[in-house]
Amino acid sequence: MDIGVKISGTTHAILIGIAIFGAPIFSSDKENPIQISEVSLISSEDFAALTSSNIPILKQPEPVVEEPEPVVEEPEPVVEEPEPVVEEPEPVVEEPEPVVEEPEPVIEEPEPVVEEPEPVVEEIISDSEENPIAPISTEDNIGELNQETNESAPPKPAKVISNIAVEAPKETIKPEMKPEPSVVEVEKKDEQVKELEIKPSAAAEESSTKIVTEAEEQKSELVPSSTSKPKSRPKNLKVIKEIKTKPKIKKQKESDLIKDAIAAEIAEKEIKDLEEPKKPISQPLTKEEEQNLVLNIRQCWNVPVGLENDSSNVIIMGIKLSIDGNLEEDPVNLSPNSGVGMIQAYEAARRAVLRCQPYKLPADKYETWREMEIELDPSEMVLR
Amino acid sequence: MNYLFKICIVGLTFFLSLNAPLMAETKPLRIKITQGVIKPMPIALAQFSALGDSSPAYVDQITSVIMADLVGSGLFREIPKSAHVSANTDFNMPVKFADWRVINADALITGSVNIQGDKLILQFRLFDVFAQKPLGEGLQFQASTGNWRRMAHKISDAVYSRLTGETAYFDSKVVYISEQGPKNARKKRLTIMDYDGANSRFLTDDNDIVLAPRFSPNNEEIVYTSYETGVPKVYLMNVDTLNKRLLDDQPGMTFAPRFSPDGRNIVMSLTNRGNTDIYSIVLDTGRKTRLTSGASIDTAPSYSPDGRQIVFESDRGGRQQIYIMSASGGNPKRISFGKGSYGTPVWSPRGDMIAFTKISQGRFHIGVMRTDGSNERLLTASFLDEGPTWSPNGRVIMFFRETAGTNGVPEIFSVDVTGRNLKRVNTVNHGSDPAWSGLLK
Repeated sequence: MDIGVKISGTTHAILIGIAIFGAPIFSSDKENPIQISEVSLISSEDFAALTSSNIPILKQPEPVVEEPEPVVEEPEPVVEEPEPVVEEPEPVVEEPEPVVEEPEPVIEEPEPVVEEPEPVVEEIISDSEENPIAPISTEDNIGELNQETNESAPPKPAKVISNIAVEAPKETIKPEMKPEPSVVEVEKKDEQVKELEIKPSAAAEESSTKIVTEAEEQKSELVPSSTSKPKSRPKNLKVIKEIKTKPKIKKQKESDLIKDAIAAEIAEKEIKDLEEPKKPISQPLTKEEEQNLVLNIRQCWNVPVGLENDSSNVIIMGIKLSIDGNLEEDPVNLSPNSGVGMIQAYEAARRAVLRCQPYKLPADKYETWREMEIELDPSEMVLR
Repeated sequence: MNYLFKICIVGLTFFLSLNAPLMAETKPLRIKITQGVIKPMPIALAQFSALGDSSPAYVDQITSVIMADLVGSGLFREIPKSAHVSANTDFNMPVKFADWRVINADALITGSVNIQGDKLILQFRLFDVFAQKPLGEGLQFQASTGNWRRMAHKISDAVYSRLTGETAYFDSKVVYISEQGPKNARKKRLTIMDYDGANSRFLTDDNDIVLAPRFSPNNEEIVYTSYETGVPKVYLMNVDTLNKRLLDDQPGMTFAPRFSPDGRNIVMSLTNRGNTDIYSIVLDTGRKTRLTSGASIDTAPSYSPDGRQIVFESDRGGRQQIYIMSASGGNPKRISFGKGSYGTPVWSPRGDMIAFTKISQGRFHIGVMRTDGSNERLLTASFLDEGPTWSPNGRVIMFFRETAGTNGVPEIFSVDVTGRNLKRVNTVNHGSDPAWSGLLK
């Protein structure tokens, strides 16, 4: 019985142990010895924030920044060396000058140290790039932000009135500032505005012609429908035809309207032509120029292994070039295919196009090569 | 008339207004490039940041393995660190692409090494320098410090795959026959190592001659031929426990074994009463099926990746040639018709090509051909090249080359499927009969 109890006890103990600690025999560590997970890319702003919050990380780039400093310091003693050479002929007078110059570099040294934190601060504040004057008066900015967030339209005119500072000039004018007439005019206008504001309806219309002009203009356009402008619109023709009264006068009006319509269209075209920069008629590239371009890109195009002699990986890229031959924007993939290896084929083609810039092409034919489609076809490439 | 005149005027203006923009639209200039260059891609490996308990020497070891993998593939060229303009002191630091572009790097790898006790955390990111964009998400690998080489290989695999669009082969093993001693009394041992020759481990002692090892599809077992009983017999061995068992105890010699793609069958040659034929054996039941017949020597069978066909060599036509038959046997079709003899065919893991050994005009070659026998290309030529084996991605072939003379020794070499990048693989002793595993999980 004792043996049986012992056996039972030990087996139960083993089982409990396995249940608690797990059995190494059944562990799955062997199957997955290496755990793999993705690492997302963080933005430069996040990195700046990360590094600004961590002091030890900030300390790391400092020595890198400090490296150029000794390079700057090195030429200084070099400059000082010739000075003592000059000092020999004129001994006493020039000696203090280098003494004065010496502390200057000493002052310059701490300056970069002061400058170092500045870019860090700029990076943090860089989100508010819209306000270059922001450092002058931060309170105003806060006020603006509050107005924008709390109320949308009304605060803007209120802001204008407040900027005029109606009450403030009065105080300034009262003592001595009479000679400035413009200020007085502004004051008078402000007074008028104040008076008009007291009168409710009539005055509001007059004032609204200046301040709330757009809404009232739209209304006025809708009400007087038969002004000179609508005559040129062909829609009015139909309206006139439908009325069918006084035919002779109508015919005259029709002919006039047609002429007006034609004249208006011609005028519009002329305006458009004037507005749009006229594209100069550009000559096509010569065969030699095209061949040079082909040879240039060919040298830049490193075809990925496995894609050679493969017709399913033809890449067509649309590119836009500036007059200096550089790409104005990223190349656009115009390839219709989307097979295996197309990503790598496109990336290789993109590298080729990016690497080859600037393209040396005749400037007088810029309009010809301003936009191009580059087709990269590895199907004819043969190994060896 | 007046009415017609009006219509004409209106129509004319309408036509002009429509036609003008059409006339203005011209197709952009189109340039067609049909030839490029094929050269190793210049790649920069930024100094990995060392975190935790990791030392700079440890970081250097890891980065050197990564670069050795990539450069060793023949597809990449390292831009030496001495040429680097900027350094990424922090893994999360934004990349200054201009600094890498100026040294003409197409791609940039950044990373960090973090050791916390026995735990190693490796992180890396890959960037397209000219496009100034990251190539995919970065990856983090976490394991015990003892797996640092594997983790480095995994980074290489990820970089290789992302830049070439193909699966990689760096995190893989090779089993081969380690050879030592004079040619007439050579000691042979079954040995396993990383694909680059590191981490070699003997699986057998040198008491018995062993030949032609092959990995199982899950890389956990090895099937090989041993003279343990005096005659060549096929054995099955577990790589970790080294437990082995005789596959078929029936009379006769068994040799040239190879797993089926699903790992359930083994196909091999069996010589009985002077006739050598190909048999398949079901591992679970031991049931044996004869796949070829006749008086010829049929050997070196290799399954297609889909398991439906078997390629093998046979002298049924008078000389050694390559044939393909169904996996269940029957209807062998000859696919090699060049001058000389063909042997040891191995089906590519991609399924598109067959590697082989060719003997022609007194020289040995490693070559490849399509599965229908077309497009034969010889990749090597020497006194004795033999025993090709494919990398897991079907882009590289490993084989062994024996030098001539009484002091001639075998060495393992690898060559790209294009015939480029022929190089010797490091082994602890001399090596022969390499067999490449699949990509490790």
